[in-house]
Amino acid sequence: MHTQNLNKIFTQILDLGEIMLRSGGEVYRVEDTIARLVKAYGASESHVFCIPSNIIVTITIDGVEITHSRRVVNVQTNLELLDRMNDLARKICRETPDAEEFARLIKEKSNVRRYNHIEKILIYAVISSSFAVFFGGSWLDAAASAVAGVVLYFAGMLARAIGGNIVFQDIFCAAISAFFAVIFTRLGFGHDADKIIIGNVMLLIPGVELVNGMRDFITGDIQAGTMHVAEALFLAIAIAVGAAGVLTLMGGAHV
Amino acid sequence: MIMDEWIIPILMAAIGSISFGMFFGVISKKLVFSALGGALTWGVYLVAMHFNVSEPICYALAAASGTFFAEILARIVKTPVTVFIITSIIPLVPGGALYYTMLGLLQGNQEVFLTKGSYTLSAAGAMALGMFAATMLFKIILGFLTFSKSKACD
Repeated sequence: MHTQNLNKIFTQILDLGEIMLRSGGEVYRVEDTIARLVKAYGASESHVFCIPSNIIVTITIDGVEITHSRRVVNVQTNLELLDRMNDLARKICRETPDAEEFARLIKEKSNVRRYNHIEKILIYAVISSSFAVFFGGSWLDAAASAVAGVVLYFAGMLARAIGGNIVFQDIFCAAISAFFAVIFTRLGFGHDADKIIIGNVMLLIPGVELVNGMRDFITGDIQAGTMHVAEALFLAIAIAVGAAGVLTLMGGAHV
Repeated sequence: MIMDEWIIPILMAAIGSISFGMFFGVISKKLVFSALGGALTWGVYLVAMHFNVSEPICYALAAASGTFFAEILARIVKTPVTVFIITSIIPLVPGGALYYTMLGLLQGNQEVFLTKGSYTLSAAGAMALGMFAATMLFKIILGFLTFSKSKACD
Protein backbone atom coordinates (compact mmCIF):
# COMPACT_ATOMS: atom_id res chain seq x y z
CA MET A 1 0.00 0.00 0.00
CA HIS A 2 1.23 3.54 -0.77
CA THR A 3 2.53 5.40 2.24
CA GLN A 4 0.38 8.45 1.53
CA ASN A 5 -2.77 6.40 1.25
CA LEU A 6 -1.85 4.50 4.37
CA ASN A 7 -1.39 7.73 6.32
CA LYS A 8 -4.89 8.80 5.32
CA ILE A 9 -6.35 5.47 6.40
CA PHE A 10 -4.40 5.57 9.65
CA THR A 11 -5.79 9.03 10.43
CA GLN A 12 -9.29 7.81 9.79
CA ILE A 13 -8.85 4.77 12.00
CA LEU A 14 -7.89 7.14 14.81
CA ASP A 15 -10.89 9.33 13.98
CA LEU A 16 -13.11 6.32 14.44
CA GLY A 17 -11.43 5.41 17.72
CA GLU A 18 -11.76 8.97 18.96
CA ILE A 19 -15.48 9.08 18.22
CA MET A 20 -15.98 5.78 20.08
CA LEU A 21 -14.02 6.98 23.11
CA ARG A 22 -15.78 10.31 23.15
CA SER A 23 -19.26 8.84 22.92
CA GLY A 24 -18.79 6.56 25.93
CA GLY A 25 -16.83 3.54 24.69
CA GLU A 26 -14.71 1.63 27.18
CA VAL A 27 -10.94 1.86 26.86
CA TYR A 28 -10.46 -1.82 26.06
CA ARG A 29 -13.03 -1.62 23.28
CA VAL A 30 -11.28 1.33 21.63
CA GLU A 31 -7.85 -0.31 21.95
CA ASP A 32 -9.16 -3.59 20.57
CA THR A 33 -10.98 -1.92 17.67
CA ILE A 34 -7.96 0.13 16.59
CA ALA A 35 -5.64 -2.90 16.82
CA ARG A 36 -7.99 -4.99 14.67
CA LEU A 37 -8.39 -2.22 12.09
CA VAL A 38 -4.68 -1.54 11.61
CA LYS A 39 -4.08 -5.27 11.33
CA ALA A 40 -6.79 -5.54 8.68
CA TYR A 41 -4.95 -2.86 6.69
CA GLY A 42 -1.69 -4.76 6.81
CA ALA A 43 0.23 -3.53 9.86
CA SER A 44 2.58 -6.29 10.99
CA GLU A 45 2.70 -4.95 14.51
CA SER A 46 0.66 -2.45 16.50
CA HIS A 47 0.88 -0.85 19.92
CA VAL A 48 -2.26 0.88 21.04
CA PHE A 49 -2.47 2.77 24.30
CA CYS A 50 -5.62 4.48 25.35
CA ILE A 51 -6.86 6.31 28.43
CA PRO A 52 -10.10 8.31 28.66
CA SER A 53 -8.34 11.47 27.48
CA ASN A 54 -5.74 10.20 25.03
CA ILE A 55 -5.04 7.65 22.29
CA ILE A 56 -1.54 6.74 21.09
CA VAL A 57 -1.01 4.22 18.30
CA THR A 58 2.27 3.01 16.83
CA ILE A 59 2.16 0.64 13.87
CA THR A 60 4.86 -1.13 11.92
CA ILE A 61 4.23 -1.49 8.21
CA ASP A 62 6.87 -2.62 5.68
CA GLY A 63 9.51 -2.20 8.37
CA VAL A 64 8.63 1.46 8.98
CA GLU A 65 7.16 2.64 12.27
CA ILE A 66 4.49 5.34 12.32
CA THR A 67 2.96 6.90 15.44
CA HIS A 68 -0.23 8.92 15.65
CA SER A 69 -1.89 10.26 18.75
CA ARG A 70 -5.08 11.99 19.75
CA ARG A 71 -6.00 14.16 22.68
CA VAL A 72 -9.61 13.43 23.53
CA VAL A 73 -11.56 16.21 25.20
CA ASN A 74 -15.20 17.14 25.31
CA VAL A 75 -16.64 13.74 26.16
CA GLN A 76 -20.32 13.59 25.24
CA THR A 77 -21.95 10.27 25.91
CA ASN A 78 -23.98 9.10 22.94
CA LEU A 79 -24.53 5.37 23.07
CA GLU A 80 -26.29 5.34 19.71
CA LEU A 81 -23.19 6.79 18.06
CA LEU A 82 -21.00 4.27 19.92
CA ASP A 83 -23.19 1.42 18.67
CA ARG A 84 -23.02 2.69 15.07
CA MET A 85 -19.24 3.15 15.17
CA ASN A 86 -18.81 -0.32 16.62
CA ASP A 87 -20.84 -1.74 13.75
CA LEU A 88 -18.88 0.32 11.24
CA ALA A 89 -15.56 -0.94 12.62
CA ARG A 90 -16.68 -4.54 12.13
CA LYS A 91 -17.75 -3.77 8.57
CA ILE A 92 -14.47 -1.99 7.77
CA CYS A 93 -12.46 -4.88 9.21
CA ARG A 94 -14.24 -7.23 6.81
CA GLU A 95 -14.22 -5.08 3.69
CA THR A 96 -11.13 -2.81 4.11
CA PRO A 97 -12.43 0.01 1.87
CA ASP A 98 -10.06 2.65 0.45
CA ALA A 99 -9.46 6.03 2.11
CA GLU A 100 -12.26 7.93 0.34
CA GLU A 101 -14.85 5.27 1.05
CA PHE A 102 -13.66 5.04 4.67
CA ALA A 103 -14.09 8.79 5.16
CA ARG A 104 -17.51 8.71 3.52
CA LEU A 105 -18.66 5.85 5.77
CA ILE A 106 -17.55 7.61 8.96
CA LYS A 107 -19.30 10.78 7.90
CA GLU A 108 -22.46 8.91 6.95
CA LYS A 109 -22.61 6.78 10.11
CA SER A 110 -21.78 9.56 12.56
CA ASN A 111 -24.77 11.48 11.30
CA VAL A 112 -27.20 9.99 13.83
CA ARG A 113 -30.49 11.55 14.70
CA ARG A 114 -30.22 13.43 17.99
CA TYR A 115 -33.12 14.36 20.18
CA ASN A 116 -34.29 17.94 19.73
CA HIS A 117 -34.84 20.36 22.61
CA ILE A 118 -38.48 19.51 23.20
CA GLU A 119 -37.77 15.78 23.30
CA LYS A 120 -34.85 16.35 25.65
CA ILE A 121 -36.98 18.45 27.99
CA LEU A 122 -39.53 15.63 28.09
CA ILE A 123 -36.77 13.11 28.84
CA TYR A 124 -35.52 15.28 31.72
CA ALA A 125 -39.04 15.53 33.12
CA VAL A 126 -39.69 11.78 32.86
CA ILE A 127 -36.37 10.81 34.48
CA SER A 128 -36.89 13.26 37.35
CA SER A 129 -40.44 12.20 38.07
CA SER A 130 -39.90 8.45 37.73
CA PHE A 131 -36.92 8.46 40.11
CA ALA A 132 -38.71 10.77 42.57
CA VAL A 133 -41.40 8.08 42.89
CA PHE A 134 -38.82 5.29 42.75
CA PHE A 135 -37.02 6.69 45.80
CA GLY A 136 -40.23 6.94 47.77
CA GLY A 137 -41.77 10.28 46.82
CA SER A 138 -45.49 10.89 46.28
CA TRP A 139 -47.12 11.57 42.92
CA LEU A 140 -47.20 15.26 43.79
CA ASP A 141 -43.43 15.11 44.39
CA ALA A 142 -43.09 13.48 40.97
CA ALA A 143 -44.94 16.36 39.34
CA ALA A 144 -42.82 18.92 41.17
CA SER A 145 -39.66 17.00 40.26
CA ALA A 146 -40.69 16.98 36.59
CA VAL A 147 -41.08 20.76 36.61
CA ALA A 148 -37.75 21.15 38.44
CA GLY A 149 -36.21 18.79 35.85
CA VAL A 150 -37.34 21.11 33.05
CA VAL A 151 -35.81 24.06 34.91
CA LEU A 152 -32.65 22.00 35.33
CA TYR A 153 -32.44 21.52 31.56
CA PHE A 154 -32.36 25.27 31.00
CA ALA A 155 -29.96 25.73 33.91
CA GLY A 156 -27.61 23.25 32.22
CA MET A 157 -27.85 25.16 28.94
CA LEU A 158 -27.12 28.42 30.76
CA ALA A 159 -24.14 26.92 32.62
CA ARG A 160 -22.66 25.63 29.36
CA ALA A 161 -23.24 28.99 27.68
CA ILE A 162 -21.37 30.76 30.50
CA GLY A 163 -18.56 28.37 29.70
CA GLY A 164 -17.97 26.74 33.03
CA ASN A 165 -16.43 23.29 33.23
CA ILE A 166 -18.42 20.18 34.09
CA VAL A 167 -17.84 20.57 37.86
CA PHE A 168 -19.20 24.11 37.80
CA GLN A 169 -22.15 22.96 35.68
CA ASP A 170 -23.06 20.26 38.19
CA ILE A 171 -22.78 22.57 41.21
CA PHE A 172 -24.92 25.15 39.46
CA CYS A 173 -27.57 22.67 38.28
CA ALA A 174 -27.82 20.96 41.66
CA ALA A 175 -28.15 24.32 43.39
CA ILE A 176 -30.93 25.44 41.03
CA SER A 177 -32.75 22.15 41.50
CA ALA A 178 -32.55 22.36 45.30
CA PHE A 179 -33.71 25.98 45.23
CA PHE A 180 -36.81 25.17 43.21
CA ALA A 181 -37.56 22.03 45.22
CA VAL A 182 -37.63 24.03 48.46
CA ILE A 183 -39.69 26.84 46.92
CA PHE A 184 -42.18 24.32 45.49
CA THR A 185 -42.67 22.50 48.79
CA ARG A 186 -43.11 25.77 50.68
CA LEU A 187 -45.81 26.75 48.20
CA GLY A 188 -47.50 23.40 48.78
CA PHE A 189 -46.51 21.91 45.40
CA GLY A 190 -44.84 18.73 46.65
CA HIS A 191 -44.60 16.99 50.03
CA ASP A 192 -40.92 16.19 50.47
CA ALA A 193 -38.22 18.45 49.01
CA ASP A 194 -35.60 15.69 49.47
CA LYS A 195 -37.43 13.34 47.10
CA ILE A 196 -37.84 16.08 44.52
CA ILE A 197 -34.13 16.84 44.66
CA ILE A 198 -33.15 13.15 44.48
CA GLY A 199 -35.21 12.77 41.29
CA ASN A 200 -33.27 15.67 39.80
CA VAL A 201 -29.92 14.52 41.12
CA MET A 202 -30.23 11.30 39.10
CA LEU A 203 -29.93 13.47 35.96
CA LEU A 204 -26.57 14.79 37.13
CA ILE A 205 -25.11 11.59 38.59
CA PRO A 206 -22.08 10.48 36.54
CA GLY A 207 -23.49 7.03 35.77
CA VAL A 208 -21.43 6.40 32.63
CA GLU A 209 -18.16 7.35 34.33
CA LEU A 210 -18.91 5.13 37.33
CA VAL A 211 -20.00 2.07 35.36
CA ASN A 212 -17.24 2.42 32.76
CA GLY A 213 -14.72 2.95 35.55
CA MET A 214 -15.77 -0.30 37.22
CA ARG A 215 -15.62 -2.09 33.89
CA ASP A 216 -12.14 -0.68 33.26
CA PHE A 217 -10.99 -2.26 36.53
CA ILE A 218 -12.53 -5.56 35.47
CA THR A 219 -10.66 -5.56 32.15
CA GLY A 220 -7.42 -4.58 33.92
CA ASP A 221 -7.19 -0.97 32.71
CA ILE A 222 -6.35 0.38 36.14
CA GLN A 223 -5.30 3.85 34.93
CA ALA A 224 -8.48 4.38 32.96
CA GLY A 225 -10.56 2.98 35.82
CA THR A 226 -8.95 5.30 38.34
CA MET A 227 -9.54 8.31 36.07
CA HIS A 228 -13.19 7.43 35.52
CA VAL A 229 -13.95 6.69 39.18
CA ALA A 230 -12.10 9.80 40.37
CA GLU A 231 -14.11 11.89 37.92
CA ALA A 232 -17.34 10.29 39.14
CA LEU A 233 -16.37 11.03 42.73
CA PHE A 234 -15.59 14.68 41.99
CA LEU A 235 -18.88 15.16 40.19
CA ALA A 236 -20.80 13.49 43.04
CA ILE A 237 -19.17 15.89 45.49
CA ALA A 238 -19.97 18.82 43.17
CA ILE A 239 -23.64 17.82 43.06
CA ALA A 240 -23.74 17.48 46.84
CA VAL A 241 -22.07 20.86 47.36
CA GLY A 242 -24.59 22.55 45.09
CA ALA A 243 -27.68 20.94 46.57
CA ALA A 244 -26.67 20.90 50.21
CA GLY A 245 -25.24 24.43 50.03
CA VAL A 246 -28.55 25.87 48.87
CA LEU A 247 -30.49 23.80 51.40
CA THR A 248 -28.30 25.09 54.22
CA LEU A 249 -28.69 28.72 53.05
CA MET A 250 -32.47 28.34 52.78
CA GLY A 251 -32.71 26.86 56.24
CA GLY A 252 -33.24 23.19 55.37
CA ALA A 253 -35.66 21.16 53.32
CA HIS A 254 -38.32 20.95 56.02
CA VAL A 255 -39.82 24.04 57.54
CA MET B 1 -49.91 -3.75 48.79
CA ILE B 2 -48.57 -5.64 45.78
CA MET B 3 -49.05 -2.45 43.79
CA ASP B 4 -46.98 -0.28 46.13
CA GLU B 5 -44.25 -2.79 46.92
CA TRP B 6 -43.71 -4.48 43.59
CA ILE B 7 -45.47 -3.08 40.56
CA ILE B 8 -44.81 0.64 40.99
CA PRO B 9 -41.09 0.36 41.86
CA ILE B 10 -40.42 -2.04 38.98
CA LEU B 11 -42.45 0.08 36.59
CA MET B 12 -40.58 3.20 37.70
CA ALA B 13 -37.23 1.42 37.30
CA ALA B 14 -38.23 0.42 33.76
CA ILE B 15 -39.36 3.95 32.88
CA GLY B 16 -36.21 5.38 34.46
CA SER B 17 -34.01 2.99 32.48
CA ILE B 18 -35.72 3.62 29.16
CA SER B 19 -35.56 7.38 29.64
CA PHE B 20 -31.91 7.11 30.65
CA GLY B 21 -31.29 5.22 27.42
CA MET B 22 -32.81 8.18 25.59
CA PHE B 23 -30.85 10.59 27.79
CA PHE B 24 -27.67 8.91 26.51
CA GLY B 25 -28.79 9.24 22.91
CA VAL B 26 -30.16 5.79 22.09
CA ILE B 27 -32.88 6.18 19.48
CA SER B 28 -33.35 2.67 18.12
CA LYS B 29 -35.63 -0.16 19.21
CA LYS B 30 -32.88 -1.24 21.61
CA LEU B 31 -34.56 1.06 24.13
CA VAL B 32 -36.96 -1.79 24.82
CA PHE B 33 -34.05 -3.85 26.15
CA SER B 34 -33.04 -0.96 28.41
CA ALA B 35 -36.49 -1.05 29.99
CA LEU B 36 -36.30 -4.84 30.38
CA GLY B 37 -32.85 -4.57 31.96
CA GLY B 38 -33.95 -1.95 34.48
CA ALA B 39 -37.07 -3.94 35.41
CA LEU B 40 -35.05 -7.17 35.73
CA THR B 41 -32.38 -5.61 37.95
CA TRP B 42 -34.85 -4.02 40.32
CA GLY B 43 -37.06 -7.12 40.25
CA VAL B 44 -34.14 -9.28 41.37
CA TYR B 45 -33.32 -6.76 44.09
CA LEU B 46 -36.90 -6.79 45.41
CA VAL B 47 -37.13 -10.59 45.32
CA ALA B 48 -33.83 -10.87 47.21
CA MET B 49 -35.07 -8.32 49.76
CA HIS B 50 -38.30 -10.31 50.10
CA PHE B 51 -36.29 -13.37 51.16
CA ASN B 52 -34.46 -11.31 53.80
CA VAL B 53 -31.10 -11.40 52.04
CA SER B 54 -28.74 -8.75 53.45
CA GLU B 55 -28.80 -5.41 51.64
CA PRO B 56 -25.32 -5.50 50.01
CA ILE B 57 -25.93 -9.01 48.71
CA CYS B 58 -29.20 -7.79 47.21
CA TYR B 59 -27.28 -5.10 45.36
CA ALA B 60 -24.64 -7.58 44.22
CA LEU B 61 -27.23 -10.10 42.97
CA ALA B 62 -29.18 -7.40 41.15
CA ALA B 63 -26.04 -5.94 39.54
CA ALA B 64 -24.89 -9.43 38.53
CA SER B 65 -28.22 -10.26 36.90
CA GLY B 66 -28.26 -6.94 35.04
CA THR B 67 -24.70 -7.47 33.82
CA PHE B 68 -25.37 -11.03 32.75
CA PHE B 69 -28.49 -9.94 30.89
CA ALA B 70 -26.51 -7.18 29.14
CA GLU B 71 -23.60 -9.49 28.19
CA ILE B 72 -25.93 -12.06 26.63
CA LEU B 73 -28.03 -9.45 24.86
CA ALA B 74 -24.94 -7.69 23.51
CA ARG B 75 -23.87 -10.90 21.75
CA ILE B 76 -27.33 -11.51 20.34
CA VAL B 77 -28.01 -8.05 18.92
CA LYS B 78 -24.32 -7.23 18.26
CA THR B 79 -24.19 -4.04 20.32
CA PRO B 80 -21.51 -2.81 22.77
CA VAL B 81 -22.22 -4.18 26.25
CA THR B 82 -22.00 -0.69 27.77
CA VAL B 83 -25.20 0.35 26.05
CA PHE B 84 -27.20 -2.20 28.02
CA ILE B 85 -25.20 -2.30 31.26
CA ILE B 86 -25.47 1.41 31.97
CA THR B 87 -29.23 1.50 31.49
CA SER B 88 -29.80 -1.75 33.42
CA ILE B 89 -27.70 -0.68 36.40
CA ILE B 90 -29.08 2.86 36.73
CA PRO B 91 -31.88 1.93 39.20
CA LEU B 92 -29.22 0.50 41.53
CA VAL B 93 -27.21 3.72 41.73
CA PRO B 94 -27.75 4.77 45.34
CA GLY B 95 -28.67 8.35 44.45
CA GLY B 96 -30.88 8.81 47.49
CA ALA B 97 -28.33 7.55 50.00
CA LEU B 98 -25.56 9.58 48.36
CA TYR B 99 -27.69 12.71 48.65
CA TYR B 100 -28.44 12.15 52.36
CA THR B 101 -24.75 11.39 53.02
CA MET B 102 -23.61 14.71 51.61
CA LEU B 103 -26.43 16.55 53.31
CA GLY B 104 -25.40 15.02 56.64
CA LEU B 105 -21.80 16.05 56.02
CA LEU B 106 -22.58 19.68 55.18
CA GLN B 107 -25.09 20.07 58.00
CA GLY B 108 -22.69 18.59 60.53
CA ASN B 109 -24.97 15.66 61.31
CA GLN B 110 -22.41 12.95 62.08
CA GLU B 111 -24.96 10.19 62.61
CA VAL B 112 -26.71 10.66 59.27
CA PHE B 113 -23.38 11.10 57.49
CA LEU B 114 -21.92 7.88 58.89
CA THR B 115 -24.96 5.62 58.48
CA LYS B 116 -25.90 6.88 55.01
CA GLY B 117 -22.25 7.06 53.98
CA SER B 118 -21.51 3.47 54.88
CA TYR B 119 -24.74 2.42 53.17
CA THR B 120 -23.71 4.23 49.95
CA LEU B 121 -20.23 2.74 50.03
CA SER B 122 -21.40 -0.81 50.66
CA ALA B 123 -24.04 -0.51 47.94
CA ALA B 124 -21.50 0.79 45.41
CA GLY B 125 -18.95 -1.86 46.41
CA ALA B 126 -21.54 -4.62 46.18
CA MET B 127 -22.58 -3.37 42.75
CA ALA B 128 -18.98 -3.49 41.57
CA LEU B 129 -18.61 -6.98 42.99
CA GLY B 130 -21.79 -8.18 41.27
CA MET B 131 -20.72 -6.73 37.92
CA PHE B 132 -17.28 -8.23 38.32
CA ALA B 133 -18.58 -11.69 39.18
CA ALA B 134 -21.08 -11.71 36.31
CA THR B 135 -18.53 -10.54 33.73
CA MET B 136 -16.00 -13.12 34.88
CA LEU B 137 -18.55 -15.93 34.93
CA PHE B 138 -19.72 -14.96 31.47
CA LYS B 139 -16.16 -14.91 30.12
CA ILE B 140 -15.43 -18.31 31.62
CA ILE B 141 -18.59 -19.81 30.14
CA LEU B 142 -17.87 -18.21 26.76
CA GLY B 143 -14.27 -19.38 26.85
CA PHE B 144 -15.36 -22.88 27.76
CA LEU B 145 -17.91 -22.98 24.93
CA THR B 146 -15.47 -21.78 22.27
CA PHE B 147 -12.80 -24.12 23.66
CA SER B 148 -15.02 -27.18 23.47
CA LYS B 149 -16.31 -26.13 20.05
CA SER B 150 -12.82 -25.73 18.62
CA LYS B 151 -11.91 -29.15 20.01
CA ALA B 152 -14.98 -30.63 18.36
CA CYS B 153 -14.09 -29.04 15.01
CA ASP B 154 -10.57 -30.45 15.04
